[in-house]
Amino acid sequence: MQSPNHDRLRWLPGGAILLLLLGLFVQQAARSGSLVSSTPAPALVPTAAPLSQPRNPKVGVHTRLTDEADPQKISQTMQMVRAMGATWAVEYFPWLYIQQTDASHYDWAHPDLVVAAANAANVLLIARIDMVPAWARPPDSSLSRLDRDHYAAYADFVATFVARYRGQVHYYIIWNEPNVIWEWGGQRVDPSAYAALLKVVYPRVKAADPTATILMAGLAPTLEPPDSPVAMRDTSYLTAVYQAGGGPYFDALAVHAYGLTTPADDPSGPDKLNFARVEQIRAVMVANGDQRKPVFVTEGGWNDSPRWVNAVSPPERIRSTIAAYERANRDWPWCLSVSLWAFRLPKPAYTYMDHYTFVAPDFVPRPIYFEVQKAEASP
Amino acid sequence: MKKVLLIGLDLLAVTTLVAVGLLLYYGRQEPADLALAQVRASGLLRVATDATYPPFESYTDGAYSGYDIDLAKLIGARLGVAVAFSNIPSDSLYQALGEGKVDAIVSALPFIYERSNDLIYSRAYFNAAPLLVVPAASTARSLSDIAAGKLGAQLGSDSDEAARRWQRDHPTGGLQLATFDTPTAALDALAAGQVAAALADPLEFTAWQVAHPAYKAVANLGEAGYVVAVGKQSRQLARLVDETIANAQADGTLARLAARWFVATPNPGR
Repeated sequence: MQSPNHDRLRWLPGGAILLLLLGLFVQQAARSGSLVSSTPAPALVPTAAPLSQPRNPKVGVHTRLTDEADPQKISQTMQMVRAMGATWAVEYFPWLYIQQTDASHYDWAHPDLVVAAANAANVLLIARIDMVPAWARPPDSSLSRLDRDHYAAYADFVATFVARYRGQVHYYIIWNEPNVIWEWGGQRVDPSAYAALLKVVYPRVKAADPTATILMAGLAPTLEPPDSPVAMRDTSYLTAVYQAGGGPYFDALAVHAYGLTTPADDPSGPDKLNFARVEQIRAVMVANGDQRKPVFVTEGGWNDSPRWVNAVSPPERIRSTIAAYERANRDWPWCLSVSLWAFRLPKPAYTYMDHYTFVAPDFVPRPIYFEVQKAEASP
Repeated sequence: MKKVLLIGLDLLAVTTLVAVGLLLYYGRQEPADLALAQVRASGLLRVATDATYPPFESYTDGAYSGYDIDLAKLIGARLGVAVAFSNIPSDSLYQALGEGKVDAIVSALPFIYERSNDLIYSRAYFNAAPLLVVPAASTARSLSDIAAGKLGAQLGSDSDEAARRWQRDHPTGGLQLATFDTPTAALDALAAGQVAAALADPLEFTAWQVAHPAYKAVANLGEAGYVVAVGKQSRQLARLVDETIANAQADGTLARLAARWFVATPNPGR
């Protein structure tokens, strides 16, 4: 019970505020570069040691390092990703964190750490870039609001990012789930507007690094009806992007593939949401002549929370996870990686989201980590 | 004149001392619990619950039921008021409490340290941490006592995770882990003599033990207490909640609730 300690703890809010202010000062100092040297760009992390040959080269995870400030923890995360048997990691790099104040100032301290850690661990990084800084969107608008008059600013930022990490990062996801209203600035989703964004960004990125691979955003798996005010069915959205002329402006497609309550081998179907949803997305690509472009699963997986209606039991989650990696490797030559959500959260969410993870916040591997590691180590 | 002045100063000093004393005395008094006053005035305790987690709470055919529902009614009875439940998704429970839309949350709520400055948590009324289960005749009290034997647990479960953590922390302990598809299968392996002990979810064990009285739970492996939450200013209400829980633990009411809800409605399929 907390109340008996209340009087003794009355000073704590004041102390907490002081600590918070100190923390903010340190953070701002770090961001402004006074404590953390963020320029010039760090030397390329030596990658002379070739990637050791994994049994399944498509195994990946979505890391969650955005709120992880400790360099040691960032490094440990990537080392553990690799030790599990994964060679791919998706991580997001919020535009608003790196170019927080205006178009001419950057804080590369955190992305430098993440990119260096991935390279040091021989993990191939897929960088998702979105979340709009306040200066590039209307006042009090959503972080995902990007109006057309700021497409160029976003493209500038992505191109700068790509140039900085040329040779270290090769894959970039342009935006996230633009087929749902809350990822499209609270506005009605608009595939033609997204296609227009791709048209602005693509040439800028290629100019910065011709070898960079541009991934169209992973779409939220959804069967929303045509008149839905909040989302558009993923396959319909992708079709509409092609119709709007967006096809030439991405090199590959990111796909979100959550198994929900179905196993990894559940067959695909136009009206089914499962891991094989990726085949439906792939069919749209083929129908639009893009059969030569690869697919990357950049989110997906299973949840074993006893409190969530879309969860499975813990053994089912483990079996489906291993089977999903295997299915992609065996049956989907056009799919280059499967990065499942989420390797580790910096702190517990105290919700069903905790039951997606492979590693606990204190870095102790969960059983699923060991089971995947065992499966990937077996001949 | 000087004497009058001195007397005046003395009076002023005494008055000041009395005033300061009164201020200190009444300043130390607990502020009124307006939420509790409102509950008593309205005759209604407003309780938030995410009624999607049987056997703790569910909502069927217009009625709430479950272990937590009965616990909330006990609290209501202690206050002498009726209980009005609101079915609120788990990610909005705290918001409802913070906005004063409810007086308490009773919803298999885990203690979250980071939130504990913004509200008052009750004492824990249920520990959801895995239970170590052994034969009734066993003298084992902890995993250390069965470290030479084999331990059964459901693959990937909290029990499995707890066992692997123990192995990690006791690398020379010699504990072997055998994993099974369900908690019941792990417990059945214990009954069949295939393992020396099992770790299981408390709900699963409570249901399983009915048909297996020759086995007992000796300890939770850790703390995962479920608590009631009330508003930050509701100290008196918090105390009454604590008293209700303590009394229900002492007089066996909580054990009867467990028997009623966990045996009759075990957690399906986990």
